[in-house]
Amino acid sequence: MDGWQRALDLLPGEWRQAACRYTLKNPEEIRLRVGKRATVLLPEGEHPFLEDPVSEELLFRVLEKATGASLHTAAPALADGFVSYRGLRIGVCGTAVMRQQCFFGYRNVSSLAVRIPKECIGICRKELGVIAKDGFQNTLIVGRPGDGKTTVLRELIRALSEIGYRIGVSDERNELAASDGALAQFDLGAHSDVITGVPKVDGAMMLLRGMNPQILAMDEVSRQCDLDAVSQIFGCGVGLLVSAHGTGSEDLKKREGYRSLLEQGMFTWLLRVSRTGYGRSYELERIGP
Amino acid sequence: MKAAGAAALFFAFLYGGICAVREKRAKIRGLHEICSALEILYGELDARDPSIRELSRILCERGTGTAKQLFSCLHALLPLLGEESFSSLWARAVYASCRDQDRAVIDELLELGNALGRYDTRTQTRAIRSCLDRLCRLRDEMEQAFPGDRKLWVGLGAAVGALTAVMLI
Repeated sequence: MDGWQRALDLLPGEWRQAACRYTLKNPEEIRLRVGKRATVLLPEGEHPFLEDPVSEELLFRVLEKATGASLHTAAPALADGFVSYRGLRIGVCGTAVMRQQCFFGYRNVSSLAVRIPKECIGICRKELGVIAKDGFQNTLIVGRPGDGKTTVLRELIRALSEIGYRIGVSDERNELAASDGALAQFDLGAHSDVITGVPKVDGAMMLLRGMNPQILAMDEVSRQCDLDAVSQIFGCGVGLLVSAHGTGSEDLKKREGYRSLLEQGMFTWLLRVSRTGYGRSYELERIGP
Repeated sequence: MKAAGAAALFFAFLYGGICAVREKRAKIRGLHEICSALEILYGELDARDPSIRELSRILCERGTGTAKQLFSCLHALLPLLGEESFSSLWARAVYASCRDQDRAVIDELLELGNALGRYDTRTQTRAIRSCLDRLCRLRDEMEQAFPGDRKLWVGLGAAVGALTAVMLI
């Protein structure tokens, strides 16, 4: 089942049928906002479907479906602003409840964004040829939210794995592999080992200790603890393939954590992903030794 | 002939009384099973924080009698999540498996369904504990009343049977 079908699966019958007509229009997200019409985000913008406004009850039912009626198990992910459902990322907004300065849960949920993951086999072939030319060199994938960093990262993992690299994937939110049970829904190649459900940092360390990877891959390395983990791994003789929010090296240097990583020359290549009309463009820049 | 008919009537009423006693005993046994299952639910949730799907699977395996029926039914209904809310699925499972229980027991279980899976672990375990306390109280009351009830129903069955038999003769 592809990402769009899994996203449709989250919606109750009537909503699912109404959204079905966008199946062939390259949908990117389903957006549900209380009191407004539900929309599907297409490359050209948001399209409303179904006349009825979205109710809070509907959002709650979608969340119940996504978490298997177990919101308590999704609490750590909710604290990061989203929950995962079979490889889908569902962004959550609402009135948060804080206890002792920590996120505790949502009193009301006001909107959900169901993001559709994509598998684009064969993209970035040219860039892959450069990155892996004389042995893999550390690569940082950057792009704005929704530009397709995760899709590119997934494809690079698959392609490098097919070349023969042993890749350890620390997939905290199960977005790269979208595993359903033990079986990955997305192809990550023949030589990839995926660890899900643990924080990226811990997952990376566990892979390093137990799986003897040649390359470690992580999505959305942005928190200071993730950057600290990347610094630790840097000296271990393992290649790094990570993605981060940003528009380029100059943008990243504005963030203290990344500035020091870039100054250390941790990454040789920076692969910039950006949206161009209905497609994506990929730009490879050498930023390190 | 009249004597045989009178004896048949007597035994029919007596049997009715015995059946009423059996029903009461089954209710108490069912309540025991529900309370044991809720204890397991509480313990699992408190110790391991598993999902509702996993909890229902565990209780399908470890529960007995009424509790096994309740959680098997819930487990079978879980794929309907999204189409129906969890509390409504829980209510369906309760009505399907606890038909023989008193209204008070059913109400307690329905109330629990509004908290399960909806809140953080602590709130859920608190809801289970308070439901468990109330159900245990109901069970204890039923158990205490049972010897008296048994005498009452068997006696009533025998008395009405005897009276009818005398009237027939």
